[in-house]
Amino acid sequence: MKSARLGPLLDVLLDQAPVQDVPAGAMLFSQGDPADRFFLVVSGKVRLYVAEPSGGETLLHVFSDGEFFGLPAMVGLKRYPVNGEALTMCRLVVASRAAVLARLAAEPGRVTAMLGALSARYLGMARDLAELKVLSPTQRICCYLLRAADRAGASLAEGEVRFRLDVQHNLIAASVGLAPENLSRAFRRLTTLGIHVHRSEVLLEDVRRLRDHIASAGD
Amino acid sequence: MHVDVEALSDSAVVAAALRQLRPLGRARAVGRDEVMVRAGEPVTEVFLVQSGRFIGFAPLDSGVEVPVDEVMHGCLLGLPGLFTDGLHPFTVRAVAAGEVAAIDGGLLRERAEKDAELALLLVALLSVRLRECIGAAGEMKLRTVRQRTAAYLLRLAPRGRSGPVEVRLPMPKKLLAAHLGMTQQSFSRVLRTLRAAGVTVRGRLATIADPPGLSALATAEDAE
Repeated sequence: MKSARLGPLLDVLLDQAPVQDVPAGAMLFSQGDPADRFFLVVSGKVRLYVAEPSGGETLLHVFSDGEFFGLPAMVGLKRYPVNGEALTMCRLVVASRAAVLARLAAEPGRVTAMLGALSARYLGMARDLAELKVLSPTQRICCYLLRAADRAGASLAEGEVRFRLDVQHNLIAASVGLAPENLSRAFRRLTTLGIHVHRSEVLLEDVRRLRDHIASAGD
Repeated sequence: MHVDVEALSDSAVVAAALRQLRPLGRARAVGRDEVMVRAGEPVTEVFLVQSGRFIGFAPLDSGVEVPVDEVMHGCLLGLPGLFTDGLHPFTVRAVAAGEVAAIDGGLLRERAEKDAELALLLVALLSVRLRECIGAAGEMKLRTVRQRTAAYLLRLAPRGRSGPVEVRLPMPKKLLAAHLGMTQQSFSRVLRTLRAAGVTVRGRLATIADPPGLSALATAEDAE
């Protein structure tokens, strides 16, 4: 799982955890070892695999920069169910179970903050998923623009709103589930709703028209 | 040998949840179609699912409620609301009868602040939910309705089977269609087109004649 998705969580869990450089071919853990650590890949590649009774190996997954692994095993299992090996020279952050538990015990306030951040991230994803299921692409773009305006501090009560987008168009396209070229076409179509996007500059002539367009979902 | 590392990780978390959280709650039977909680209600209790199947419906501003979450054993209903604004974010309905352990929300919060092991377990439970949600959103963006339907049917089947397999659709077709992000009419059309891939559906019973072939269709890069 990409660490960027769980930034606040990893900030807490990996705070003060040591960084280790390991050479290609180094075993991080073997099947049956106590599951007492989890790892964040800063750079390099790590493979997880299982040994087969016939002597062969089955590759399960390759983790690379920004991904972490071993947390579920640390939480739910006493021993690693698989082998972990550095495929290349790796820089890893290694958090031991004891250190993580000690950190959480020492700062209980951070526990609720961490769970709150993770919950909010999940609820945001669930909202995006709901929108993907029932809203048209232009309705999803309208939702996105309203949230971007809110993030930019614009007043969304009613009437005209101007603001600057804080991300590039290709990221907006990915966020609403469109190819970049289709986003450009959708922006052009949205001028009929009084929505004008020029690079990062956005003009919404009438916020209410956006809301009405979104609210027509399921009609 | 096929080993699904995500499923292995998730089952470890689920087993830990059932082991550690069940003693905190009181058992409660849930009937099919029972609404467990409604979106916007205060989270006074969270529910550890021990059996049954539940669907979480997210309300949009338009008032439409959209199925976004399919929950089974080892999940903790109400957890995200407990650690955000204290309100249930979804309306949750049982689509199959089952049993839950009802845990006092305040007690769980208090325990999590005092017990680092428990806090870490809640982190892992939320991580599993988040990963599933990210996966579902990715499927909505990248896969066709046909591929999403094929993938869902395969998830109902026992893993690693190469011969014909029968599965029971776990909810009415109209709800399943909405869960997969399409209308009931589209779902019926998709099921008809999947006949060519060896899928036949009679009522709630589906037969998959060639699971590996259907799997190839579900994961093909060239989304139609």
